[in-house]
Amino acid sequence: MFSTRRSTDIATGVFLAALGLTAAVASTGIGEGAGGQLHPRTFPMMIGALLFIGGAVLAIRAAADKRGGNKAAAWPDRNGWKLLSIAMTGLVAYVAVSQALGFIISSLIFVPWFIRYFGRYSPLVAGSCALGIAAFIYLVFIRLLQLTLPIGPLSFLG
Amino acid sequence: MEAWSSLLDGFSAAISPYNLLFALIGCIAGTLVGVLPGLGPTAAIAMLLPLAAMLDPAPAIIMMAAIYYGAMYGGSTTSILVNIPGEASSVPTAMEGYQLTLQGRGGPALGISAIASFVAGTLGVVGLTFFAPVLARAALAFGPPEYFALTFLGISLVVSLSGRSLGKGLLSALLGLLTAMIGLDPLSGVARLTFGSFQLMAGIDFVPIIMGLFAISEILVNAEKKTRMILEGKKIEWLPTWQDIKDTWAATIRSGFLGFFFGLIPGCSPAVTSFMAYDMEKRFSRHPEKFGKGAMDAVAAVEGSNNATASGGFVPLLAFGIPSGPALAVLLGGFIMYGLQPGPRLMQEQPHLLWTIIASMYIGNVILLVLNLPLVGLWARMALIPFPILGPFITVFTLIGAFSLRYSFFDLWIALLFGVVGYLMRKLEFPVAPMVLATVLASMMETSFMQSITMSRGSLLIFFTRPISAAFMLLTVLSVVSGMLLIRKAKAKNIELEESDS
Repeated sequence: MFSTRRSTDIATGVFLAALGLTAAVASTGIGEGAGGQLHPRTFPMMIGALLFIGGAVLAIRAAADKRGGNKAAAWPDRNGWKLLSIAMTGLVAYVAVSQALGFIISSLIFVPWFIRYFGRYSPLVAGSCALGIAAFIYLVFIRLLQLTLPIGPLSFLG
Repeated sequence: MEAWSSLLDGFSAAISPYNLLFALIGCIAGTLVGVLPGLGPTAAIAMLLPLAAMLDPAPAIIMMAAIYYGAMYGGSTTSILVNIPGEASSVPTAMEGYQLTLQGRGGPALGISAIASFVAGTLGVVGLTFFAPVLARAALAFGPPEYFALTFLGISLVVSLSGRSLGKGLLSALLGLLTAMIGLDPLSGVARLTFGSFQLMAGIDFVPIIMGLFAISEILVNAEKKTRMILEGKKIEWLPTWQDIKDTWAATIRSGFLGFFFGLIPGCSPAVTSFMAYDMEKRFSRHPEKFGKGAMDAVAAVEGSNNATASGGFVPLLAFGIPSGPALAVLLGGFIMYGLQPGPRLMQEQPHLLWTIIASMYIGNVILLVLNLPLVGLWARMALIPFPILGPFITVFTLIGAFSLRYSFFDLWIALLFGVVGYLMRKLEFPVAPMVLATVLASMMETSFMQSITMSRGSLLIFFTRPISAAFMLLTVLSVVSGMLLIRKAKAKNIELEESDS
């Protein structure tokens, strides 16, 4: 399933057509603006409709192209999918932990984990990189550029 | 003649050690904020306003102006080396420059970017010196119909660049426009496509979108392959060769003119200029087939146009007090802080200050070149860092950059979401550039369309009856037709090749 360019184009076309239709239908609920020649729903509805048409055309053309569209899609193998999901989980966890514990602590966890998992480097290399980036966040972003970054339990440093 | 003597007078003040020091501080701060993704010159100038308040007007404004054009220099570094365009105008640089880095030519790309920035930036300052009042008046002829036609042309140019995936390019642009529709209507303030979400009411900023589409998707693609080094070959070059400079000088000059003229138009996004310069260069280039695979002339054109746009933006600011963008609006705030109102009266009442600032921009461009060229080899060594170490650094800087825009974690989730979208677009062969430009221009496009329709009382003819707008509309049609002809030609060539193979 979805192993050829033709099948991925059909699926993408159907998805985009459905997205366009959803946007166009949702636009009907947009309230009246104050004055003006055109209603605030005009642009979103028009774009939704065009996306619906464009998606449908992509799907139909791909379905009709039985000869030329059998090139293999560029999906990863099973191990690639595994690595991809692990990287994505790591990114999601980084954002979630940053929200709770701030950027310095989350970076101290995320950076060495990534280096160790994807590079098999020694704990010393991973730890040094983590400390380096934590120091950079504190000295450059927080101290020098005065950005109000959340730092969680380390708020005494701010 | 009068301009010459005023400029010389300005130089005599600008080269005083005190003014030079603040030009240098501004250039360093600008380069730093340009290199760090997400942090733009607007935030940097705003942050340094309290420091500027302690100085005399001349060094303070020299420093703030240097931050603005210095950020344009720095913006190319992360785009070329690690595929993180900090803002929309650096997207074409990332598209070409990162490919050059993968081929071991990151150093030459950075060098050419610095040289193009210097040459085109200086060209822009020459324009500012000699033609400011005349050109500023012409730029004011731009009304809503012209802005709509310009944004329409910008998006159609990028779609027409999608080559054989013209249909996918169009869908990508529509997806970008739809994303930008989320939030409050720019004219009436009515909530649109927010589905009751409070966070979506503020809309989706384009910077997290760009960072997701480029940087996060790059992390995902490399993680999937468990990449050790991002470099594809073993050969690495550190500095541009004479041949590189010879190959790119024409692109630099062309983009300098284009960037300066578009910089004159108040509100014209530098992203439009960058993409237009990119498109123009693809049409002029002797090797259009290299575009998308690492074209050095494209890097020169985009970076040149960026810097010339920055110089051009000073024309409406100094001549009429009209800022072309948010960074120049903060700079205008700097002038007002000293009780100075840029415009014709400032030109008459404070000519010495004005010419000192203009002269300092020539010096600032030289400082930036001297500052950036020796660093090229050092920056380029970044490509030698193994991906498992570089990857988390890219992630942390990208996400902090996305956060620092509105101090919102919602923007980080948006960056991750668009990271997945960017990954899928790569796999499904959808061009990313049309989506980026459409997201950036959607608000201006819609607002100017609505205003035009109100001006014409509902008639679409307004876009074809005003000369500048009609010319842009004609160029739009020509770009679409030429794009379709190119596809036809490429298809015919492919069929010929297939037939000769069989």
